[in-house]
Amino acid sequence: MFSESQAVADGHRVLEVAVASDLRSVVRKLKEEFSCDLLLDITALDLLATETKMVMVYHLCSTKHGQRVRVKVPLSSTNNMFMLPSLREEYAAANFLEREVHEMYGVNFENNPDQRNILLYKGFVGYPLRKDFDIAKECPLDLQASPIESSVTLADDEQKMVLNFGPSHPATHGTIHLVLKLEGERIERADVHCGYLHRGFEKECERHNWQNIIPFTDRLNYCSPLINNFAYAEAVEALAGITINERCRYARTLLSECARLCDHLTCIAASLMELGAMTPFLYLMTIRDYFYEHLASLTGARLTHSFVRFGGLKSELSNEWLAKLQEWLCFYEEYIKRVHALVDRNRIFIDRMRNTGVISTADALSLGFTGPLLRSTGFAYDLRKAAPYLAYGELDFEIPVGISGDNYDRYYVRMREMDESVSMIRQCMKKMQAMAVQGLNSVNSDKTYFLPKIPVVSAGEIYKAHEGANGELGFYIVSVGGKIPYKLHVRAPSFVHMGGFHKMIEGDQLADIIATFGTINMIGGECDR
Amino acid sequence: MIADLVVTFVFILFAMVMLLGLATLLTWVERKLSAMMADRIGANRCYVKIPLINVKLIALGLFHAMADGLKMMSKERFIPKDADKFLFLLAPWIVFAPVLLMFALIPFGGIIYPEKIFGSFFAGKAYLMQIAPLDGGALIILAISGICIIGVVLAGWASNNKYSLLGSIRAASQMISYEVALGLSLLPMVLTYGSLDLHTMIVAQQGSMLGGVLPAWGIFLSPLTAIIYLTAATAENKRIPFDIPEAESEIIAGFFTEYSGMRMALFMFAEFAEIVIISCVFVVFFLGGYNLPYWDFAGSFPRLAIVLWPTIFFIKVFIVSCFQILVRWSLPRFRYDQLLTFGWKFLLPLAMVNITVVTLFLWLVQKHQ
Amino acid sequence: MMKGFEYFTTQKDELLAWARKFSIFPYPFVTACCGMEFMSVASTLYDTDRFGAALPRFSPRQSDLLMVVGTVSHKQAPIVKKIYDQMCSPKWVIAFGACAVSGGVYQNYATLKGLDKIIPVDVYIPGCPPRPETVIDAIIKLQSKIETGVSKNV
Repeated sequence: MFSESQAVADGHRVLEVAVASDLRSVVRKLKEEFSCDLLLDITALDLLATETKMVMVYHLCSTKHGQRVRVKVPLSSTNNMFMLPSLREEYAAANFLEREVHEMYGVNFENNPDQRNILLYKGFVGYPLRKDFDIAKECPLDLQASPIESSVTLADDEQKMVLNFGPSHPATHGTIHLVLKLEGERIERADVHCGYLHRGFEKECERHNWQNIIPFTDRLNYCSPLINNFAYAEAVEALAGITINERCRYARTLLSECARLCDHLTCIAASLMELGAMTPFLYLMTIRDYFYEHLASLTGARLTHSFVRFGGLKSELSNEWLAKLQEWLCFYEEYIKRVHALVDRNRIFIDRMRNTGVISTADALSLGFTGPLLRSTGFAYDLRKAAPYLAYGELDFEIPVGISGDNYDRYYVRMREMDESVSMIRQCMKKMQAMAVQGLNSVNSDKTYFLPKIPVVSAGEIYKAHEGANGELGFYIVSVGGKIPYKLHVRAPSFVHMGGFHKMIEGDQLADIIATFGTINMIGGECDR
Repeated sequence: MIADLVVTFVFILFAMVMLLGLATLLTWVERKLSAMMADRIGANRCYVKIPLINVKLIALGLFHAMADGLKMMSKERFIPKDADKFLFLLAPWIVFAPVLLMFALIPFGGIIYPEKIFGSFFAGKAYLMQIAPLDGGALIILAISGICIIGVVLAGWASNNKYSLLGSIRAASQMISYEVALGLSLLPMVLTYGSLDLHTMIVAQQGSMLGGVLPAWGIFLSPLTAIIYLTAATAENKRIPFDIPEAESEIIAGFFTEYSGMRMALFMFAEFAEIVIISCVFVVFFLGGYNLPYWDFAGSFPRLAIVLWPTIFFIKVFIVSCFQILVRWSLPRFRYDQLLTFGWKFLLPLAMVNITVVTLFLWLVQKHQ
Repeated sequence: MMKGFEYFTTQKDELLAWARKFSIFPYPFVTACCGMEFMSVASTLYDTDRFGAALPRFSPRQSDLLMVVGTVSHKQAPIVKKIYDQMCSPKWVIAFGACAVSGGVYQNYATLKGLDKIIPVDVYIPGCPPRPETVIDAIIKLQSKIETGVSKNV
């Protein structure tokens, strides 16, 4: 199926499927023979202007062999229609991903009956990610219409309740809209709608230069902006052929783990608050605030750091800063003890979390789940171990896994990951303190850093993924050379997780949505982009 | 006759001031206690300018509670279009009124002889410091507290809102379930004291036990009963961990989602007033009421007793209320079905076992006397 | 006679303004990144409860202050408008963060270029996201606005 020459720079084997109708058989073969168990991402590439075709791009991954495959399907239009078979029978994750491609590019999927808008509102005209769509287009604003199209209906004689849950609901982070069919308090059907925070990130990227995209990446997963920064920078650096020096690798690893710490703190804090436990919430927020302030003293911003530069970082991490960080880590340990004491073995908390929002490993893989969600089912897949990037290969850490894939496991996996993060930060700190403060920028070793601001990026495509706090955060970039990307697509874990959310809550109680949604940690910015 | 009226009027006035004042105070205490637990400062900016000298009086943010009340009074009174107007307007009062009523049965002092202080107008009369000294006080308290449920259910139903309806259904099942446990939890104490009259119970708790080490309070006679009562009562009052009917992050504000302004304030205020009532009942049943242990001050200073009794009662009630608030800020909340399971399968059997044990114990004691 | 009446109405207005000023129940309409800072503002280190503005009511009927925290997209706009209409007067609106103020960095097909396109706004908080101190400043500004009675929403 593959030939050796097909392996490309970004670690993917590329497979071209010339005839669209062959797609399913090819993918099935990949799934069965090459055990590609994860469908990571589906997107399209608009080449209508130059080559009069659309290219579908699928990213698959085999967790067993650590292999990654990119399947490309060129589509030519018939009567201005693009058709290809849907993969929803092979991978449950395909449903949401295909719906997104459908509304963004106008590609139709043959056997996917669900082609309602998902990120855009009902009745949106045009396909925003096509090249002929003007980004500044003024869209008419109808303040009376419902922005979604629900698939939950009630027969006349059905004695049940249809409940709109969100988007402005205290538990749904303001951006998720659930339409629920309730039997008593049990959820019989759930229809998940997202897109309330769709800000046109991918379209914006197509008109900004490489450097100016960095602030936009901050606002994807705004709980851990640094991880986004680094993942994006690594993708661009790989395309532009920039390498980073050892100190910078460690610095980025350290900051990634700080970001992960903040992200998990936020997630656990919010879940606890939504369960009614206010005091542990406030403890966790206190720790997080101190970390924010400490990061702000380095980067200049509490939340949206934009700290990365191609080939380096914006500034050096001084030894004083690292020493102070050590103090905050001790402070963290002090406070997290209180939270453990208040929560871990609290009977009510265990009852709320145990056996709710359960997902099996097989389902989780089929739905494309990654990160703590997948690990909570007992499946130890972590990019930091599976395909070590930055300095993770040189660090000593464990991958905490759960047992049953329920909310308690997710809570505990996150709690343990924070401890691992702290240990990793300490290891990085030790290494960095042993190194000379030499400047983080490999291109220009002078401490006062300045690169040519906009790097020269050669034509090509790349998919680079980092282990984000919620799962695999991948950047798929297509460049045709020049200062701006031709296409930039984000494989956002939250979006994929939302595609499987209904599966986790159906059959549970209304109150379990809160616990389940909290531990998934959906982040609007990266879910809706 | 007029003397009786005057005394009753004074008692009612005191009861009102104490109940409403304490409830208002508790809203502030809740803010401050929760702030303390989370290393915060809590409300502290509201000030009153004292006229003429222009000093800003802050008083630790006490006025915030007043500002809240006043603001809610002046807020738009909203009735949803499709609501049942009559029931919608009635519901808050059905929730609020029984709470006030219950206080009538609480004795906040012993027998006083106003003649000794106020002269011959009250000649030869003795009054118990209780608005309605009824023989079946304990039963009536339980009966009245049962009325609140109706208000809650009506509020949820009349609002014509799905979240309200969910809240009121939750409330109905929860409150009815815990009503049973609540009733059964008080029964052992009734057996122990041999009376349904609340004042008799307090009198029975005077003195000491175990050779004078412990006061003969209900909480020491039967600690389990006290715990069951407090649990069931918190559930009756719908506070965390039992705040399912108004669980904010699940069903917005539950049964009073559609209420605004003063009507919403009534619901919230009823909750705080009920904390006070629960504490009052707890103090009467388990903490020796208005008496101090080891020291019969009423005997030593009979004239002061009229002030001391209510004061001591007030302080005890305040402490128990604070405890309830602390619980609220340390626990997460149950789930609807877990709450019912807990009520029916754990608390109720426990209460029954408790009754059996207490009864057997009392029987043995009587046999050996 | 008339003067006495006027005296009392001004006294009443002042009293109400005083009460409203120190009892602001916010409705946190949290959509985006700014939500992180909103959480910080409400919790221990910054503690908006000090100003009497930390008891969030998620029922619009019971809240006084609509805090639109983060980007409002075209899809979200009808929801914000509905929530605003559902709120009982007197009510105030804060646009929290650059996106709510003007659309921020997102000037494109998907986002609303400023909350004030659909509802009147009392206080704008710039910043992407604003620091907690800025938010506290905004709350104090809103309080003085309430006190002087200058509002677009009452």
